[in-house]
Amino acid sequence: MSLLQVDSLSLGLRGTPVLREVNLIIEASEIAGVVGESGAGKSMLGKAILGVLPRDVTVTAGAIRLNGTDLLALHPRARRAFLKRDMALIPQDPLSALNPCRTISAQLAEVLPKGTADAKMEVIRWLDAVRIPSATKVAKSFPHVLSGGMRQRALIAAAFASRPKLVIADEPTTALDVTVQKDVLHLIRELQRETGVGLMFVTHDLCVVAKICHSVTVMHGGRVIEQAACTDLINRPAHAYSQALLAATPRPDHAGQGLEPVPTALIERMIAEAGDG
Amino acid sequence: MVEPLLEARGLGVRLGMRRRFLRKDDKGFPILSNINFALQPGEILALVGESGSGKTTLGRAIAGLTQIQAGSLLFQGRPIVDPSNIASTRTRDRAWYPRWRACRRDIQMIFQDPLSSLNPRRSIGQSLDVPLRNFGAATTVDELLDQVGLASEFKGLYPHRISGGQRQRVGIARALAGAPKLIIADEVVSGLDVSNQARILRLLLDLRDQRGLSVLFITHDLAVVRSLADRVLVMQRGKICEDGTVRRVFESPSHSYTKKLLRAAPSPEYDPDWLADTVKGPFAMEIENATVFVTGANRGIGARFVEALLLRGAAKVYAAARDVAALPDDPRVVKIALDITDAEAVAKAATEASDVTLLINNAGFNSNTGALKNPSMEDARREMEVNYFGTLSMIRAFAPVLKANGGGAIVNMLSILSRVALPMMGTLCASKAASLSMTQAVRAELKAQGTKVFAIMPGAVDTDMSKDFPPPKLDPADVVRAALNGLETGDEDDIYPGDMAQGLRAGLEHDPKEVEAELASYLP
Repeated sequence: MSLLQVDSLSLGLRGTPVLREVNLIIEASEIAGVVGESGAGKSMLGKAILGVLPRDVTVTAGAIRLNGTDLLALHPRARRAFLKRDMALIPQDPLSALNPCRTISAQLAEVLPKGTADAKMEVIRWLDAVRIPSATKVAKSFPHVLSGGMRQRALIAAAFASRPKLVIADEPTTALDVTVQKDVLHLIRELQRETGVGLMFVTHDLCVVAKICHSVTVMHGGRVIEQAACTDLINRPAHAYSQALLAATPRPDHAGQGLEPVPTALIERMIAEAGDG
Repeated sequence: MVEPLLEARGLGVRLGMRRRFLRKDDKGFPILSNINFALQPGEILALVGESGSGKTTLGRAIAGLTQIQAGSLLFQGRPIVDPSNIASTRTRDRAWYPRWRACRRDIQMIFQDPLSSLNPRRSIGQSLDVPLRNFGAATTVDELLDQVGLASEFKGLYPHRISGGQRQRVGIARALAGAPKLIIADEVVSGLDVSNQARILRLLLDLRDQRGLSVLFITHDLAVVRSLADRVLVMQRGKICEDGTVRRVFESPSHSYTKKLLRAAPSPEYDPDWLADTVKGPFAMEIENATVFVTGANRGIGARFVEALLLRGAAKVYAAARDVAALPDDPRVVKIALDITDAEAVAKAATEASDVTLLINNAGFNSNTGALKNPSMEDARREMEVNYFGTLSMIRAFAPVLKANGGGAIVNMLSILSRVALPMMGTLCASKAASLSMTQAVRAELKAQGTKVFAIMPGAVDTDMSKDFPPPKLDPADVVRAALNGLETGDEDDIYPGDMAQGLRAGLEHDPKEVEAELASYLP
């Protein structure tokens, strides 16, 4: 049984399809990348799994199973309990995800599993684990005094401190500098290996995917375009869209790449083939 | 040789930092000093660096949005800012200001977030009409939109209605209104997906090819620089550390910081080992399995050192102090009663601890008085005796031990006050300055035997030695973290834990006299 199984999930926004028959399987101890351009529906998929969809977006068909339990069939209260215990999110914008009126320590202590003895020490231990340099001081600080990298690390600590089974990372390094990005990615992978959680890594950056993911799902227009092992997708992308996406990605080791967008003709053909615009 | 379009000579910028080195209360250090570069007509010059390196500040200074405080800036060979008129830029001198405005038309800036730089209550057409009228340009809004590949229907739309990529095009269109010669593009493609990014990059290239426009392209994305720019400036802590053609810098970087940046930039190639490949700096020292000797280990920073070393997997820790009663009981801890001012005892300790690979000279004494205020010379002598002579005799005794064990490292706990005096602790500062000087000398002498010598220079630390100093003070555990992290990453052999030390360090690099004056005011 897989850790997470999304079965032909469709979402609609007042009748307009947002996701169309998306299938996704994430195993425990796996980092599954979900890539696509803006509007591909990748963040919406994460939100559907977490059960935090915007008010107007509804599930029109399909199932989401975590360890075999169908989350959509659960009573909302039971689902929230599930979410709290077994899932965690590393959000894109660390400042808006932290409460500006409470210290880092207070916010991290909140997510620790019930019955943790000496929560304060545990929080500092977690801040140390994500390599925050002045953990004692940072624990007592409010979010606004920390740099972006520090905030993101604190949120990674929060995500793993709750001892979840599934972590959803939504563009966790987009706002960071390259050197910090590398540290944070390394950290996410180390924590993921140690704790054995399944991780869904949502991003638009194929360079990052190539370095951290085991499997990749390419999305466009709410559909899954291609699903493959990371090495296959990067070295031998099967779908023309994946190929175009890879060609549009600038690379530090070659000049002249990343100057051609995904061709409009290809997008139009894909929409025509799907048959519903 | 063509005359450069823009030239900066010894440019310096400082933002509201007057007398605030000691109490730095904000992140980032927007100080630029001695910036020199030239931008040729029709060139795309990339400016890269991390957050806080000063790249945006430099862009804003050139666009005239931030005060330039030193050096000169030449546009087409004519000075816009030079040392003689820096004062008049502050007061908006009447004779000078028109000239500045004339250049402003030729230098335009595009901002990172077009949603916040476009007025939400104005339609795109209205937003573009304002600069056209201001510049008295003959161009129409439709022509501007056409230049950036947008249909004229966009005129009637409001910024929130269009996509991020389209908004960024509007930003570019607005910058083009005055037919500028130079565009400063600040992170214009971050946050866009690859297709939109490619369209914006292509647009900038086309504008350069068709109109000879020069671009100063500010970004932290090295992959984009490789595809777009002709030449690249790498900035670190307010200075330009590398300047060269893109090809040269990417293929054979000369500065260690550029190498570090390039190693951190991912390429779309499957490589699961890439993340683990954290390249250590030239001074890296392994803590795990090290045998460590810590002096002054019974309290304050020393006690935290012992805890942290055990946590990080040190094989054995010799914890030395005059009073061993407070030392922790642990199978890996060897307690040693030691007064480092007693030469015989130090020599004996070195024979006893013959397996040491890391020596941490932490013991110190602080009388907390001014140089003249203290009626007796005894405290001043004791400070020298412990902080300077004690540390020196430890190093002399342990250098052969470290050599026998393959080099190892010495860590001297100094203070940022080693580099500038705080008069309320005048004699302590003198002893710490002597220790820093000695550290540098020893570093050179021990280089041949492969022993690394680190200086740890924190700001005020919350221990009973500095109880007179007003907060905020660093937690001793954080000092130890910074020191050990610094040893493990090995980027520098001078380590400055905490914001206060970092702030003073930047201040000392920028203007030592001003830092001295600031610390003088702390005399109670």
